Amino acid sequence: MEHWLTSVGIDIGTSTTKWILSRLKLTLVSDGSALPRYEIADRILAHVSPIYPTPLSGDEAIDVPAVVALLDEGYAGAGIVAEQVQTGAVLITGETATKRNAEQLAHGLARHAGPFVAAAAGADLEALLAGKGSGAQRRSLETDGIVANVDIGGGTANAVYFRRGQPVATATFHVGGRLVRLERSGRVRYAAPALKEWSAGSGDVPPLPPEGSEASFDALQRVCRAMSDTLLRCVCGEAAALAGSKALFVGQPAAHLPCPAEIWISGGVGALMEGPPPASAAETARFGDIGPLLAAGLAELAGTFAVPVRAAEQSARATVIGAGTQTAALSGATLYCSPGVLPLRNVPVVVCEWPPEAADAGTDAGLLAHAAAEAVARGCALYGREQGGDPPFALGLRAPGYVSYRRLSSIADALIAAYASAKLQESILLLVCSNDMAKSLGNRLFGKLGEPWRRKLVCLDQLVPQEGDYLDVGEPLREDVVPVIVKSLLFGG
Amino acid sequence: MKETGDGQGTDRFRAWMSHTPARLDVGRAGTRPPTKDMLRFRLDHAAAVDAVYGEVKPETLDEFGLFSADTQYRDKEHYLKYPGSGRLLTEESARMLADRCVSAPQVQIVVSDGLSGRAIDDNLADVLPALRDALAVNGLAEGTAFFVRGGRVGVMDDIGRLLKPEALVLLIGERPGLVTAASMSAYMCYRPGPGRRDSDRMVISNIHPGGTPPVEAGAHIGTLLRKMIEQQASGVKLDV
Amino acid sequence: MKLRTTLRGKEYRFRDLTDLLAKANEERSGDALAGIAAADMTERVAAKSLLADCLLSEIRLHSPLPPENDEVSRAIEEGIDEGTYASIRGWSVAELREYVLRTETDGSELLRIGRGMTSEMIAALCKLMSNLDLIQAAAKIEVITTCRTSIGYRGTLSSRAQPNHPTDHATGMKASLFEALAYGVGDAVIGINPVGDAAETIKSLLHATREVIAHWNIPTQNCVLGHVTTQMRAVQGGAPADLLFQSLAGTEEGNRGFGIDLALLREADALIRSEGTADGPNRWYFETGQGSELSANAHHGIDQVTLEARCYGLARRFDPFIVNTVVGFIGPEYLYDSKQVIRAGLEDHFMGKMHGLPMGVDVCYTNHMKADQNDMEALGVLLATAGVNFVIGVPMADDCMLNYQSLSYHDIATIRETLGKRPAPAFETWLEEAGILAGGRLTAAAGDARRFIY
Repeated sequence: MEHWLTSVGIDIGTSTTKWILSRLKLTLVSDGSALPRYEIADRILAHVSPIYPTPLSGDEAIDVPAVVALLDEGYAGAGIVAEQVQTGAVLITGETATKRNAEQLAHGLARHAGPFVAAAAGADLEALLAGKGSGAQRRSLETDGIVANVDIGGGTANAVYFRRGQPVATATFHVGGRLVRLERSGRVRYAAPALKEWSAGSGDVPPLPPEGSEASFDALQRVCRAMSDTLLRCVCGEAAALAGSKALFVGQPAAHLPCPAEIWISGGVGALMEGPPPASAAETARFGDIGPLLAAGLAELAGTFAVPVRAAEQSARATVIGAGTQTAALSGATLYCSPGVLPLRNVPVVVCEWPPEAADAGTDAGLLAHAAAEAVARGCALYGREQGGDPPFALGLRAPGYVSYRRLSSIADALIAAYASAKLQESILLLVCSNDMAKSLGNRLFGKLGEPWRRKLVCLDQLVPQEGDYLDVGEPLREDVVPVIVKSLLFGG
Repeated sequence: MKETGDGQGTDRFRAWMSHTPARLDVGRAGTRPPTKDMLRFRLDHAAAVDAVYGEVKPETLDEFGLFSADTQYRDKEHYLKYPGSGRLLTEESARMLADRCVSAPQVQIVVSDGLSGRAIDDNLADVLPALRDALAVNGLAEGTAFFVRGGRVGVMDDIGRLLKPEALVLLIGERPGLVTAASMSAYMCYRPGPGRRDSDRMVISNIHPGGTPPVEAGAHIGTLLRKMIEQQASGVKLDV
Repeated sequence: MKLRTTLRGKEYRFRDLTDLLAKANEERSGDALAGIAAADMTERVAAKSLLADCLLSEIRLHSPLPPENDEVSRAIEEGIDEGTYASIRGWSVAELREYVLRTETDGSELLRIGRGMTSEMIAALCKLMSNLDLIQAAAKIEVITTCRTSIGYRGTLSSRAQPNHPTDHATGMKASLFEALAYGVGDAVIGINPVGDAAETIKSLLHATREVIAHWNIPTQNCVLGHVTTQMRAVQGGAPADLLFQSLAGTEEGNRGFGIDLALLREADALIRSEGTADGPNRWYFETGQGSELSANAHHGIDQVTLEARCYGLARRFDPFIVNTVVGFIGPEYLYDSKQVIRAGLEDHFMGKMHGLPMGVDVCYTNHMKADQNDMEALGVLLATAGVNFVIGVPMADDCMLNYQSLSYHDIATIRETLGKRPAPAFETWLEEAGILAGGRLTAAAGDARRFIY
């Protein structure tokens, strides 16, 4: 039995904008004598847009009407109606996200992205999606060592490290094609402050030609080689490189990074690695920046670097493919969901960790009640009702080991008591269990709750969101399939 | 003494082994398995055999107020050699059902030891209450639950003939394996009765804490029973 | 045909040949379940005595399931070498038994007369043979077959690596397979029972096994034991299969229960001969097992030994590469205890060999049978002595998917060393090159699956 989910990915980056439409095949993978389980068994790219230059008005703002028009035209050309889109993500990536009108843009695109799309940003998420879209994550399942994916766009290089499919670290660097903008003469129109700081901070780094000056091809090449070398050595976690490159880190500089067994390069710069290296300042500046020369520097280094370095396939579209095909997850198929409550968007997660089960039932009930009260109180403090959400937060329930019926029943009591004492009886009860227990917990709660609260109950499982993540929960495709997007900060944010 | 290789690729093989419950990497003494692995195997087999020859504890049945009916089996050997004897109730038990059970209920729950009494002892307290919650949520009315000693799956049809439930669910101990000796199956049938075939029934199997989670299985069974009654069908005809 | 005799002053009467064949069986629960077993030991011996005097021509004439009613009977009849039959038709079963056991009668002679016998004649012969008779006679027969490689040589004991997995997980399957190889197991076939019977599942397992075979250049064959129609879809979709697999029953109706008939088998045969990935003439893997017809209520009142022989009569029409009886899988209502399983294993092996088949045995039991691993070890040794072509190996004897116990990788290595049996020649060379086997014994490096990780 199979169902299809239409998912869109839109990536609006510092220098380029692209979008994809994908069809996700949901397949019932369980056999008839097991509990039903669906998986996303196939991800088909149904439409891939050209790579457009991101429409800007001046250097500081995205030209929102132009972006909207661009997508309108693209959808019409591909024969897509926005209402068909069921899930996906709009990413406003790199430095674009710091543009003042990012929010306006996300709002403007809500229509194209359909009724259920996350507008997400954040370097960690970008890095993760690029690593999934590039194939690096899949590669890590086939090999013993860690596989790093470095997605290098206009403004930043986003690195993610996978071990056996799991992300284990991320890092973001001020390394990108558009951080130095050039005219064909070699005149430097703009150099990013972080690069200036890095260049000034260390004697080993060749000087960055000042803005307004006419840089020689040689000088540009030296800078790009140094950027490539520093980036790759940082990605490999080399202590000296990390210590000497603090200025290049976006956010908190990392003290340690794992050493990967393979490095994949994706993003616009990754795509340029395959082409012939520029031989002059004029050739370098064909997109108005140092991108091609940075790519050449990486390609040159890849041949001799201690760790194998390779350009990803679908390099330029890795992030958007990740956004379009890899953001949706599925709840476990035995779940509980009151009619009419879904979809829910942007619900923050509060984690409730149940203690190990006590032998005595009364003692155990007490421990559970305490844990639930503590988590709900924390949720109210962080995301109280004054902020207006319904539900104000989702509770991520994590149980160590097996959950018996006795324990399930005590958990239901603990939750009801905690929500009631926080005066949340009017709120939707959105519970996300790590264990396979959503339907039974929902049933138990339904039996214990009065009207009308029992009609506002959503219980999902086999998802493990972290504290501070945000959830988008889609409408059920059928009784037992609910798509969920977990928007994570990933690593300590 | 283990005569194994030099440990090359140890981590990798461990990772591979984590994908299978097979008894791998045991090593050897000559060509024979090491003592601890031999004993672990024997212990798992012993648990399985003891489960076949064991009985459900009276406390388990008392906890849920289940009375006992008997099939026509005489003893364990007879039960194992003549499966047909486990598909029919004794005349006395048939009369008892007529006396004690609600006739023509919407849902009839039956519990039986089958090939593992331990499966009932270990799992009933999780499956049955979760199933009853699910019946309430799905608006289904339950008849009078009871226990059948020495039952086979086909006993559903004999009970169906006697009590005429709309849907029947049989919670029964499975043939023990070495992974677990206490695994339960739930067989379901819409309007069971003589002449029903395997393809008319559906099953959720491997119910134990290390397999299909018992509590969630109980909840899911309730959903399936609702669909059976809604669609007036079960087995291959049911659109799940 | 005489159906009446008096023993110790008591008269025993039998209805017909079918009744006689049933009651002449050694005791087994399946015959009792079917209501056709001898009432006591003396009646059993009475039946054996009368069967001993039956002529082979009488057995052919009074076939329990006439060819006009059953396509398996027709397949058996059409396969008889009439010239050979004519030379033995006047023998009684007693004379046949003694001829088979004579020192001068060698394996090729047994294969020759087997071609002139119906399955019912071979079953009748089996019923007059003791366990040691069955071992000695079978040990004379050498049946060599070739798929990608050749197996069945005298002095060898081959094995199926059965790396089953409860969810068809390719990595988990490979871990188990590598351990098998490290013990020298897998020369008959790398054969996986899939959980799901979807063509995609079968395809991916065929590709996964083919990849391992190609990577390590292993002289063996691959097979995924789904339903034959699903395997056909996988092969038509380009999956690399050396062999097709199917379970067989001894009656047309029993086969219908398996979802097959002769026409389908012929269609599959043509497909594997044109699309299969092996070069040799033998492209089938069949499995059988006493009791399957009764469990499908397709036994026509015939005993399970005779029905089992009829499976072999059907199998030999397709020149299979390997056949095995899954002797103790079906459960205690057909074979109750170790005594019955051991007897059935020896019977099936002998009857298969008399049919000219490359006979293996899955030496196995379920947990509700009165049997344990000691019994399997004993049956393994008996069958190896009888020259069984192959047995089945799973890690520590515990099949974590099918939930039954067979022989372990260790057991196969042990039986080989104890009885001086070797793997198939090409596989032995490969094991020696891999440093796992030297002079027919495991080396210090054997038993470690890590060496095969790539």
